[in-house]
Amino acid sequence: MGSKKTPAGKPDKKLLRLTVKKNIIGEYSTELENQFRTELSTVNCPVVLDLSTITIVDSRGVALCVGLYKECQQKNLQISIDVSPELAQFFKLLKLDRILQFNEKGSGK
Amino acid sequence: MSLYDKEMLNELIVESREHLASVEPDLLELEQRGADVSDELINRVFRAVHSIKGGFGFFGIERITTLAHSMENSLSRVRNKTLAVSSELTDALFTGIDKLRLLLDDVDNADQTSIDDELAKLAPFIDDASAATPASSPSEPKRPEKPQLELDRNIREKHPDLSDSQIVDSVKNGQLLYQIILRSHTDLEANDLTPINLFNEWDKIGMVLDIVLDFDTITELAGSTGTELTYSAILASVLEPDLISTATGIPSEQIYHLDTAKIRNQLQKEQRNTQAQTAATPGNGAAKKTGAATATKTESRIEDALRVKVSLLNKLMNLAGELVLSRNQLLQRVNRTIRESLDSDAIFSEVERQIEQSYEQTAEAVARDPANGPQRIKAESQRLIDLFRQSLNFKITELSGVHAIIQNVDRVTSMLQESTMQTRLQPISVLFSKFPRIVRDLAKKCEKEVQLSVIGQEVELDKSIIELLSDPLTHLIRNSVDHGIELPAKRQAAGKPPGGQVVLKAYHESGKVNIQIEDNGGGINTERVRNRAIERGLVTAEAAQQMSDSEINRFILMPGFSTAEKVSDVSGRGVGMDVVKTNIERLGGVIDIQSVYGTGTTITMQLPLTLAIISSLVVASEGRRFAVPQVGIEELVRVRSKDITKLIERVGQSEVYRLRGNLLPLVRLAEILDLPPTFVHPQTGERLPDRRARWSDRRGIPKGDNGKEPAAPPPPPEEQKSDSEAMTQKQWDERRRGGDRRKNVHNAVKIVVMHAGENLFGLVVDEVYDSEEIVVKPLSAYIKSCGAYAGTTILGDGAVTMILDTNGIARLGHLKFSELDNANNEEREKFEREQSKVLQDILLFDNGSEERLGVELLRVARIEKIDCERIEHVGNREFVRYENSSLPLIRLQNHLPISPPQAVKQHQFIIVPKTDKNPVGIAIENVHDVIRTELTFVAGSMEGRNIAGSTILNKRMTIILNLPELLEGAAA
Repeated sequence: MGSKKTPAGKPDKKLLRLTVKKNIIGEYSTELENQFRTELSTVNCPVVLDLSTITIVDSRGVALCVGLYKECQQKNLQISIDVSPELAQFFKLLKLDRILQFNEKGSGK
Repeated sequence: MSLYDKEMLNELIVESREHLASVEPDLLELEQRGADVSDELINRVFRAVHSIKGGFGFFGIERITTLAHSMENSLSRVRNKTLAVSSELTDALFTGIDKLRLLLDDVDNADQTSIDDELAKLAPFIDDASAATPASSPSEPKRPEKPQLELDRNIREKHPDLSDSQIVDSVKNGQLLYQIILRSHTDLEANDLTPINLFNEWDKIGMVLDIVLDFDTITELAGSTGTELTYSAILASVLEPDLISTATGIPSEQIYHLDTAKIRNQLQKEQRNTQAQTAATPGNGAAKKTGAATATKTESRIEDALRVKVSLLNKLMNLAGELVLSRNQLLQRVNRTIRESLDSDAIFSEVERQIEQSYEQTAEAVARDPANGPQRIKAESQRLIDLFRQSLNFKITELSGVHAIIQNVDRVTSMLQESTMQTRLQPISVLFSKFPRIVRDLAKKCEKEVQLSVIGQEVELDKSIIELLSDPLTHLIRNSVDHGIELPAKRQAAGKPPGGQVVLKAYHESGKVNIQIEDNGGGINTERVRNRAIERGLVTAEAAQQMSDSEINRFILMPGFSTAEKVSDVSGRGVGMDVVKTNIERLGGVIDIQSVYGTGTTITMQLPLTLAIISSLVVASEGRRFAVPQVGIEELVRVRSKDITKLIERVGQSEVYRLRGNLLPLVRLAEILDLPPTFVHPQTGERLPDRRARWSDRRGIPKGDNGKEPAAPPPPPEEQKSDSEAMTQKQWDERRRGGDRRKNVHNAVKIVVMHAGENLFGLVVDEVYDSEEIVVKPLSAYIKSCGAYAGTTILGDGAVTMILDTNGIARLGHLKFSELDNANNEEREKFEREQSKVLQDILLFDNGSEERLGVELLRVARIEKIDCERIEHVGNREFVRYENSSLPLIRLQNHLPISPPQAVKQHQFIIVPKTDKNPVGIAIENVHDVIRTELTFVAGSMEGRNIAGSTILNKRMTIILNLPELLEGAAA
């Protein structure tokens, strides 16, 4: 599993950090989708999706990010994404920076 | 790779080379401008590099794509103002350009060539993020730009961020615009592709301008990853619509080709409006005008230029040449037909009738009046001649319609030929454009400051000349920077600005193109060149001192000549200038060096506009005609048959001709070309084998192989002789033995004096015809390899003729000019000695006594014959009336130790010498002669007052007067 519940992710904390440590390709996105749904169902705090150590996200991964954003929107949760420069460039190309708050961190290399 | 692909690739290579050539000057400008770099300039460079990347990306040539991509990345940062232009950056980009050129030269092996060094140089200038996706950054807040360009409404709605500037850039760059609809499941997942990989792939065939992701279909996290997303991408690419589907891997029904023609028209319209406004607005700055001009130039290039294969142009050229020849043949044929028609029956019948009538009338008239017969016959003959002339004129007038048509054909053909010639002309800028870079790199290497100014880039020259000019010009430019321009400190010490200047100039003059390289460097140290030439034994110290600076400077053109103390990797081996000279001469050009030590050097090359049509001299040897290019000909010499043995002789292995104090080595064209020697029999006109080995053979009567006199040839057949020529066998034999047939006028030697580099040699031919403009046609490789021919042509009469290669002939003749040098020096000295002896005209006369006297004619104003009654006596002095004045008369016996006249005559001559003061007349008796002679006085010559000396002239001792002394004494 690429994400884990951090101490901050506990319901009594003020931030849910969802960390992904593997490139999001193929069926892995479905796995992440299920995990995120579980995590989100238990908290009511701002969410941080940490993609700062990965460089590749396929179209399902993109859909996952959009889905997470929409979910948070529905629940009135703030969401931001920590991304590697490579992913930041890609997301900017898709104009996802217009809906998601980006924090460019480190490098996926 | 299919043939079609191969052809496309070749076109791409040609285009890419052009892109690279255009990038270089722009990069130099970028470097010079630094922070002041204009967007248009950086965009131009960016577009060129991007086109290369796109084109080769399509063909999957990774290394070219990767390198171009890295260059594009660094340029992208400059464009985005996140990177400043620096000398290091331009260095890295130039290195990249050089490597791209190398890769283009061998595209097949491009992917096996390492580009690591170039990438490493570019690495510091590349932003990691932009390295991944070099497309423009859409994440930046968009400028509030209102779209002006007409584009499909749906596209505008779908892609509101797509800016006009992006579209304009692409259209200007000749790219087409496509909207590509991409479905995440069917187009990506089914092909195991991620969007980022796909867009990176597309980046190799063009530029992704904008992507819009439609994620409205996703409303929540649950099921999001199973939802199909739709991407709409705008791709700018040079690829045609039929290729784009294959290149992107997307079905063609998902690709929409945006109509860029409309946009282009719109742009042009705006462009015209802008120009009109610029023109209408008074006081516009020069910079604005230049900008408009540049834009116009770009546009007109798109509209007017057409890429045509050189092979096709050559074919057109050949066809035009053929047409010229056909026209010439047509003209000759028509003229002949006219002449033939003039011999036609009609004229002849009329003339015949007139003659018969005239005969009868004249016969009657003469019978009636025999005394006036001859006059009558003469008058009648004249009438008949006039009548015949009139008939001819009438016929020519009748044919004038045909003449007009022929003239028109002639004119149109000439115009066609001229226009076709012009298609081969290229602006010299294609050559000049590489020099700013060369100068920049070299100046940097030599740690000098050099500014290159290029003037006359628009001057046009034949493509083949431009190609051959590249090496010599490069060498001269390198020389100027390396040897000419001094180091900044040295310049400053000499009171010059630290930065040197090299001016490269092309201009037309007298139907030729002059190319000039001028520098304000140190100039040529003529004394050093002089000393080195003497050291190397190229010239004697004495001769060197008499040579002008310009002549001395020409030594630097000699092979292996160098004054450099050390050999650098730039220059100093003394090879380059020899190459320069050889290449320029091969082009039929001349080179001139002017230099002032300490101030600078100017080297001027004068070149013909084209090599395709040249002026030639048609000569013949052994009955075959050849064309000799006029540029290689110095002069023509005809040696009379009687002078052959006197003027042509052997020195070492060479036969030589004495040409004004120089020994001119001779080459017999027939020998070089291995044509069996023949001679034209003076009586029969027959061409017979010639057994002489050389013209300088001094045989009076030819001997046979056994040393005996050969049997005389049979006399010419009677039917071939006219009555006056008919001779008996005996007469013929006598003539055969007594007169050397070589002394016949037909056997005069005709020498074409030609250049072989610095030296001259004589090409002996049998006949010299006329000069003719000829169309040079190339030779096949195996004929070319024989070395004697430069090409072939068809003469006006339709005959195929070979064009001689002057230098090739000299090589084949194994001419050893060095062998002749010593002999030549002696010959020259002898000639000069002879020339230095002053020949004088001496007036020979006497005083009525035995003594023969002489005076230099140049001192004599007039010789007058006078009646002795005109002589008047005043005291013991005599005067003669001369031109309304009185001239004192001198009697020579009073001033010279000679006898007085033996008798007094009624008439007498007086010599009036040339003098400004105290004019006198010298009384003499008889004028004998005026002879031209070298005035040397004999041993034991007479001496004394008023005598210059005595010598033997016309077999008699003659006293030469010292006229100035005589006049002075007489005046006293």
